[in-house]
Amino acid sequence: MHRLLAAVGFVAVALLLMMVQMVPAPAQPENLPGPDLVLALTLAWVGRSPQTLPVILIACVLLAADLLLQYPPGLGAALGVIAAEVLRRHILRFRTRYFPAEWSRAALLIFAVGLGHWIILGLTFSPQPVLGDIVLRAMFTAAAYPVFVGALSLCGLRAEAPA
Amino acid sequence: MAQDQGADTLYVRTLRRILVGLLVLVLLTIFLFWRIDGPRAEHARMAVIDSVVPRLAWMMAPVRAVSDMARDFQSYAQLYEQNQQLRRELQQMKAWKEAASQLEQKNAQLMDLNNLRLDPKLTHIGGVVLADSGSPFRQSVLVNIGSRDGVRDGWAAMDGIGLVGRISGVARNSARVVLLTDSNSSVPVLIEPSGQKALLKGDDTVAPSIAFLETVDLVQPGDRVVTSGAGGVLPPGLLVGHLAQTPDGRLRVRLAADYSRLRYLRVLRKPDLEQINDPGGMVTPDALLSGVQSFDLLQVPDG
Repeated sequence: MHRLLAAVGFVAVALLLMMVQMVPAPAQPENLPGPDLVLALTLAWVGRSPQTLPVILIACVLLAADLLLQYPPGLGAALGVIAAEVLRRHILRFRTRYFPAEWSRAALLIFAVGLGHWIILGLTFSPQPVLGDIVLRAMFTAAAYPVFVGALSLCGLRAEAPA
Repeated sequence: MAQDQGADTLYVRTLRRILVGLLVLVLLTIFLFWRIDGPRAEHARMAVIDSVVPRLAWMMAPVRAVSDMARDFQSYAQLYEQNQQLRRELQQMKAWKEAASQLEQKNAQLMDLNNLRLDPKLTHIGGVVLADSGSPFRQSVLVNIGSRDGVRDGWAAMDGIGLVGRISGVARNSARVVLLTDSNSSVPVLIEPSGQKALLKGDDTVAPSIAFLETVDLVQPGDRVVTSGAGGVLPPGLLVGHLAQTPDGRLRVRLAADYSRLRYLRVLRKPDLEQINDPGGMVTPDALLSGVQSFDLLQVPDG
């Protein structure tokens, strides 16, 4: 029951974030690339409670984000699933929780996802965004991570004692 | 017992690892499919967006209200400056209005003189912008009109004043407009007083750049840029913007459409171009004669 509630909550919040990113407010290309909210949410959720989120759900939500937000479909989802799995294993392996370590690990993964995205697009000769924008975006996403962690723990999703 | 449990978790862990690997493989296959058969994948994407976004438009309304409020508050802070600036502009506008009304009269006279009729087939459909692309690397918007309203790929989208982009991707209830600023957008244009042709290429900045201009000396900043209609995708003569020069000497176009407030768009209905498929037959005396004969035959019963 608890898991079902978590899954529904995750999907709802992710959908809301996608909608926020799609609001047609200022279509100004000069603006800095904002954070990848859905990826930050996923990693923060996995970082807080690695047991509640089934990996298939993560894949579905990230694929939906790719489709709705005009990214190359599947690529961001594949990299996001790998990042979430790596983070999950890391969290489960270390029994003591130390937030800076968790955050730096998540930030590292976020940068790896951005770079991987850029490299794979280059390898397949797809149109590539500028590398500087990717790095900026990863920085903002990494900065959004603790915000999501704070919001999630306010909603009662606290770090579980590892099994 | 304990060992048994350990083996059990090891088994579960391995199974999970295989499943995750498979999942990643499936996702990468989707990506490869998109890479190989882009148009079909984009078609599928449009179908997904079409089934999701219009249904969630109610959810977007409050978010949009909040962002509008924030923007309005920002402009409230600059109210005094804006007021001064508007007064100055109003003065200039008065002068322009006078000039415009004179020009309008003159134009009407000239049109009357030429017996000119504007193309009546160029009607438009109005649409509301539903959503942004959501990604900082794709400059496009989603409008709430689609194949149900007869919208087709390649049609031009304008706001009240200037060209905004062209339709690329149509679903039943929605369509995607690729903006002129998108890095995939390139539009053939004409730079007006000199009549030079060029290509307007978007590069993810506010002002798209001009490429393939033949003689740079003939144009200068401030020139009007309109679509040339070359290639037959966009109709000719739509206002795009005005030429501007960056400090490093490159030519860019300051767009006439107000990209910061894209709310309502008109999509211009484009008539199907008439195509000439007949290669043109040889005109021989025989053909002329047979034409005359059949003409005669037709006439015979009458006489």
